[in-house]
Amino acid sequence: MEIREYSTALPTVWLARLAQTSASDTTQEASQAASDTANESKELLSKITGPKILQALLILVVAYLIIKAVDWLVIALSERVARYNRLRIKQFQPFIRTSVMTVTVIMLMNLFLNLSRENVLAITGTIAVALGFAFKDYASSIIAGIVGLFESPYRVGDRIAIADEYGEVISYGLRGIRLRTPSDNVVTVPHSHIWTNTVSNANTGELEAQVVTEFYLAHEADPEQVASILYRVAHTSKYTHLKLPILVVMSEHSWGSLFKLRSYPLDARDEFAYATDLTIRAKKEFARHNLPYPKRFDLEESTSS
Amino acid sequence: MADLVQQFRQWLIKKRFFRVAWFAKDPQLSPEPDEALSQLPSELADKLIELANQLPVNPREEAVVLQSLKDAIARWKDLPRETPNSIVILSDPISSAARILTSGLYQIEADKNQLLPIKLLDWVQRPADPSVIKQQVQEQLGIAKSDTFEEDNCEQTLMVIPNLCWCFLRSAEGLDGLDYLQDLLPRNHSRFWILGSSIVGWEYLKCTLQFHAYCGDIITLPALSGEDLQSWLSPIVEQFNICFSDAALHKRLQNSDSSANLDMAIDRPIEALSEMSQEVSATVQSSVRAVKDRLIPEASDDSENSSKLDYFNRLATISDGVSVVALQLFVKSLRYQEMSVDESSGHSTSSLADHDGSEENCVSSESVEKSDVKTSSNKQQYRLVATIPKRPPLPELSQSDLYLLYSLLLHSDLTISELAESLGDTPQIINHQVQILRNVGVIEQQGQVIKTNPMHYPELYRELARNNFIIEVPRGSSR
Repeated sequence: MEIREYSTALPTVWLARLAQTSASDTTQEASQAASDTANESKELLSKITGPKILQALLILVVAYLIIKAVDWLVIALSERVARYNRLRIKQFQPFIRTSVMTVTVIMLMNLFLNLSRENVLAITGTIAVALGFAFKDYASSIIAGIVGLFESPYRVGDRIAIADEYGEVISYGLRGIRLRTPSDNVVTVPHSHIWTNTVSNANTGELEAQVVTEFYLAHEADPEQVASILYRVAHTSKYTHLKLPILVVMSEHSWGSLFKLRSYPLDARDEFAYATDLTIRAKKEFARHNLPYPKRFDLEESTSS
Repeated sequence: MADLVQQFRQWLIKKRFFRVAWFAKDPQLSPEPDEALSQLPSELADKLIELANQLPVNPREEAVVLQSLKDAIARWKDLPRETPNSIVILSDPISSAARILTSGLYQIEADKNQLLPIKLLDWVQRPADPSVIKQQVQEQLGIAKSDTFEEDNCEQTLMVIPNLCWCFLRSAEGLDGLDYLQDLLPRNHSRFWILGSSIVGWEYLKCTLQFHAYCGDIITLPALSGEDLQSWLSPIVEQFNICFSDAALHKRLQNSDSSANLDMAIDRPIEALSEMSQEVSATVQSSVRAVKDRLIPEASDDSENSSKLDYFNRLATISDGVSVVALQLFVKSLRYQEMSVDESSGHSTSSLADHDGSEENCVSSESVEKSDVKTSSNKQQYRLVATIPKRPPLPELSQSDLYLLYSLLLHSDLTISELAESLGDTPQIINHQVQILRNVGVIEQQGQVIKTNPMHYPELYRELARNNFIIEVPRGSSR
């Protein structure tokens, strides 16, 4: 607009010269900016050479081997030592893995990038934008994993229910955890689940986890006798941790009585074998004492209760 | 009544208490090739076993039992209503609680001032059917079914249950007998109950039935010291003139077969490491003593005696002061050494090891002389030398093995069917597992009866304690 106003007052030649000068300045600025960016990129990226690529590969291989060795060592050691120390030793795995990965990434960045103060800021910004769009979920999981290391909603060796899955945490990775389910499947669950979903942890770093075994009997069954049998069954199971509380609770339903035996196995890993052992022994005793089972089983009520 | 206790005692010695397990007990467990028992002439080996089996109950253990019984009975006799009418004697599951207890009772019976009628539950194993325990206890102890509370006019009686572990089986029905005993104990104060039990079984009964709430004094047998073991084993040492010199103790270290050691280290690294650490610790100990002897000569005893005391102290340490374990490790540490004696000079030389001056003090025993082997000028003689006593390393055990071994310690001993009942598995599965554990020497079987191998007991005890089983404290730290 300003040029147009001046153009009415000044001679045409001068205007043409002015326009020429202005265009040439813009071109120079653009080329200057492009040149600056190119220089910055050059500064940021150091020279990529064959030896550097080899070095990077070597770093990656060594990091991979260290992680595998640490995994093997921690698992082997934790399974050999006394059970009390099993879970403690397993906690080293995620910390060591994260440390090795962090060091590897820093070494690789140091190899290929000139990490001056300005460059670090530039890279951080770039990565932030890239991650914000392309790797949002991945970044979220990694951050959740780091937070999880300190908040400990689950640890290696814990028995947890998360994302409709239940099992023992056998590995704590950068992005997620691996669960071994009772049917021996390995399920990978990203750490980001902890942001919005509940995590139910049965033993939170302890060796023992409570096992609840349910028994269904008819109304005619003598509750005192049933409770007495269930206590005796728990006391005589090879799996029971006798120093932890054993409790029988009962509730009444239209179809009969539901008894729950709450007790702890010596090792949380034995929970299913333990529940089976308790059930078999209890059923033998119920049969010996002719205790009646419910004749009609109201599924709707049982699920709602 | 003295006859009853004496008969029961003799029966226990004959039938149930066999100490030298490696060939008296389980034919599968044979001694290692270099051990004395495998090399001794059979008559000498028999004599060694006979002597070991004839050893009396350790005097210190007997004294503790005797004194505790006397004190508790005297208190109860004076004030039967105000004082507890029971005492519990706890021993290790591999020791024979019944034998130690009956030995103490026999002493009490010999004291005419203490004379009281005794009712003895003279079982040497648990009834095959655990549901009849209650009935059998009633019959054997002569307790009427309608036994009521407090009968003031009753004659004072000693009720003896030598091994409480034979009165229960860890199964739904197997604890009924103890329920009955638990009710019976406080019922009548004219009865004084003397109960023997293993420490593992007792911990279980404490947790499940709170049995301790019904009992009076609870006495645990003491851990034996090196001196206790030395005096207890002296009949064998003297009879065979066993040599305890430093050189003999470290014979294996000096003459170690490097290729055999290397093979062992590759095949069984844990065992090799354990062997090595035990050798090194014993060597360091004797070296420290040697330096001390040189620096303070007046404080030092003669070399043979201090070596012997070192040996027995070490034996007490590795056996956790348990007499049966110590006896087995003692016999296991003996080596049979051949010597040739020049008849003209009377000078003897050993064919097996280097000797220092102290070992020359070990005179070859005439009792182990093999008279039928002679050369023209030389006579072959043999002697027994004691090498470093070592505990065999515990083999690698699975979780399932630990459950089985805990069950054995809990009940002291079991048959296959009882073990299956106690573990809630089928006898076939248990039998497979038992055979595997027998092959690695962790358990022993004679006839139908299965027990843990006493030599592995100290380590097994700790292993179970570390793995959450209800064993109060690892042995050696509590006693």
